[in-house]
Amino acid sequence: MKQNFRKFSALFLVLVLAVLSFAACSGGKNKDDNSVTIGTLDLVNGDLIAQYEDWYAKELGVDVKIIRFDSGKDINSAIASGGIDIGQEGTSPAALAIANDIDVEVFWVADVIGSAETLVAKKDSGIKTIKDLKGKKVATPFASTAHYSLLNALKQNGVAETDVELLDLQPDDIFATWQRNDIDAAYVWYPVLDNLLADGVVVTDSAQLAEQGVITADVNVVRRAYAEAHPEVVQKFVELQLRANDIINKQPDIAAQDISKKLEIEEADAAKQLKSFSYLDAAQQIEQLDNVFAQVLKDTADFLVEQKSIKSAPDLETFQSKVTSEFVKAASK
Amino acid sequence: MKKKGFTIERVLTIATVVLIFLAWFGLTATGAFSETIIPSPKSVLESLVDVSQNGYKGHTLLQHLGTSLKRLIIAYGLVIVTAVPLGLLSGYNSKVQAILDPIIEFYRPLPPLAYYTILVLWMGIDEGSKLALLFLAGFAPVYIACVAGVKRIKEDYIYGAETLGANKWQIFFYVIIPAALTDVFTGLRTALGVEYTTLVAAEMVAATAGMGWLVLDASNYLRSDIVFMGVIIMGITGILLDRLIQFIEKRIVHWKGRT
Amino acid sequence: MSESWKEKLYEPSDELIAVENVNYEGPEPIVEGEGTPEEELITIDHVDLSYDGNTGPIKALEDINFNIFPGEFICVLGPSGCGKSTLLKILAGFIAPTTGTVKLEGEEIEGTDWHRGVVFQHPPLYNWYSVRKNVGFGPKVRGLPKEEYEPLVDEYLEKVGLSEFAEKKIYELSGGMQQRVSIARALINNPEILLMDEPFGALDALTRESVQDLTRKIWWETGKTIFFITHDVEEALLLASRIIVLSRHPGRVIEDIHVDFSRQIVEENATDIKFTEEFYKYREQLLRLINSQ
Repeated sequence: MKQNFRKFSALFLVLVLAVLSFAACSGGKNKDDNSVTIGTLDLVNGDLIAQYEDWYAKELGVDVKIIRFDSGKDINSAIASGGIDIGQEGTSPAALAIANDIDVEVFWVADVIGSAETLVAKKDSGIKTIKDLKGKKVATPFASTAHYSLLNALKQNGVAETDVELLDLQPDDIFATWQRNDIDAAYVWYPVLDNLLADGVVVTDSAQLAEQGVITADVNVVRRAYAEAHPEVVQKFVELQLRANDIINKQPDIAAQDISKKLEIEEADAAKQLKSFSYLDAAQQIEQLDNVFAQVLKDTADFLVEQKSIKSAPDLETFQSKVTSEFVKAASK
Repeated sequence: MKKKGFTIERVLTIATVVLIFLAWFGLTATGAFSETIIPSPKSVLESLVDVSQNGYKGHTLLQHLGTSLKRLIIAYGLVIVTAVPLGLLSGYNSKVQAILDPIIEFYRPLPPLAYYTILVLWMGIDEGSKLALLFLAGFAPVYIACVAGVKRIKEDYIYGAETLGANKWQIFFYVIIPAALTDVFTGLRTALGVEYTTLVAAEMVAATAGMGWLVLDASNYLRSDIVFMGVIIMGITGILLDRLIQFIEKRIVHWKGRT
Repeated sequence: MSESWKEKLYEPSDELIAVENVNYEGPEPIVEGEGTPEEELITIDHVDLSYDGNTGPIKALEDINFNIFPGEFICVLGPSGCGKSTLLKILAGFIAPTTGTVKLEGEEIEGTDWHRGVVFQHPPLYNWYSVRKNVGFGPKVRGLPKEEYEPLVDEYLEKVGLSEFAEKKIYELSGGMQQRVSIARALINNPEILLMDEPFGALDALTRESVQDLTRKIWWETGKTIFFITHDVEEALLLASRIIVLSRHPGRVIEDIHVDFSRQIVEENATDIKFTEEFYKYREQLLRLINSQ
């Protein structure tokens, strides 16, 4: 029996070591690895054009792997585990990532959300202003930029969160419950937004909120370790994004065409969606990254603390150190 | 085998648990992993204290647990009153089985999330669709265990009852049901596990309370400490519920393992 | 029931088995018991039974013809695989013969009923009931009022010597006791015939002897007709009033004799009968007959 026990303990030790080394290994890729893994949400911005034109594979100069995710939360998990090197996500997940000490840098503003995210109410719900939301059922995907915008809209209009029945629904489920009249309003994005607008009225949108200082955007983040090992890849990535934004702003028809093909949607829809964001050129990027976005992320994180979603938010300096314009500067030289 | 106290098996069980805890302590103490990847036992404990004192997003910990358990128990009760009789009947009567089998065979391998949206469309975002999802998840394993339980009964049991003068229904109630009970309970235990794993999915849509929702919401905000806490609580309550069923089984199926 | 059946059982007195029968291959099996039709309890008429094997139908029983008279204790002997259990299943109504008929008091047997009680080799007793409830199961499902059958249960429990164990659970009993419960459970319905399928095959020697004694005693006291399957020659000789031997594959009747050791044991208390020369002779010859198959 004693011998058996010894054997067993040895086996157990091996097992534990195996698990530990596995955990350690999966923590990150080899630094000499000549590749990049890009996480995308297929948001309507330059990223889609670059994907459609196959620029990443052709021009980044390393092996490219593109992985599609469903939410910024998944992008965060993938970055934290070292599964991807560059990812795109909303300002809310990005603020979360920094607040949770995931070692990332924000290096690109892919788009600033305008009417792309809109609070729509059912036509017959009687909701016209945000104050009318009291006692109503309002759905939004929690932890998203839309959720952040909705909560800020309520706050700015003096509506207590507890006065509104907030429901955590993914866009598909929002459409389903909207049709069943289970909800009165929803803060959501395209393409579901289009479906809701058919029998809904706009209460507010992220463009209006941005004017009041509640900025939401989609940004690109990079694992710091990757950025340090492969700055040229990140720089090239930014060059491609700048080129894409140039097309969006100067040749919107071509941009709409590319995006409609990539997402397999109508060109008119793509054009409409493109208009609901704003896309920044190099000068604007530098201006925003240097002077605005650290504060935007800090505000977002502070708000999440207020919501008791996260324990605490780091100070502004930390956010500043995690937002960099260096790649845009290098790329636009 | 019924040695009391410290058998080698018990020592191994305890050693395993202790080792896992030590590994957890050790790993987090090295600081090699961020709190997001592996939260330390300390922060998990702190979040437990915090959530039990201050609640999580509008509900106390007990309310979250209670909401989930309520859903679980209602769905489980529905499973017991439907899947057990239908499964037993199905095993006993090939015509009943011919009607029910295609339905169950079809939906059983489907992942719950695949048809959840349809359930939401049909039943709305309130408790109905959540209960339906849990019910469907639990139904199949119980039904299948009941069918198998009846099929496994030695035919002499049924012949014996026939030669004593029992009719079909008497055989069903006095012989088939008790003889299949061991398998019924195996099915019930499996179903509880399956329902528990489905709970998180069920609370993904439009929930504002429940342990599954708590874990999901915390994971949205990368609150791994709360996720760990929630998962540990769910694990422990799962074990307790399973023990409860085993206890009831021992009371009812007193002959189990003694034949 | 009058005691006359007891005398009838042993007339005409049988000769020892003819040695020529050892290599029996003749077409006509020996059919014994030439009573008048009124007397026959069960008539088995040209019964064949085939079942589907991997390579076409396999014959298990071939042209079985014999009658069972009230009060007989018939032991069916045969090598394993001779279809003796199959024959019992036909009598019980679990399976129907492929051709031929089996009649109980002139009526063809279709399916099971409580007029033919069965004792199985592995007693299918209900673990979820007490001994008392197992024995009372028959009368209960037949709709007898409880106050009517409860005394019966006590009576039969006493018959099989289990009065003190009435409230025990089945799994608390030994194998021999379980078989006694099984016998009581079948007898309480007062069936026309008791069919016993190698009931003591799984018991140890000492237990077997005591349940054999019990069975013999019950038979003698109640006059119940018993159809008993066994592969044990000695058991057959110690219990039967009549022994039927089946051949191996397909099962045919190759011997049908009357014996009275069982009567001697109860009437003359001849407990050491199995050491007599006569018993020995019968045993040897039956063994040779079976082993020659």
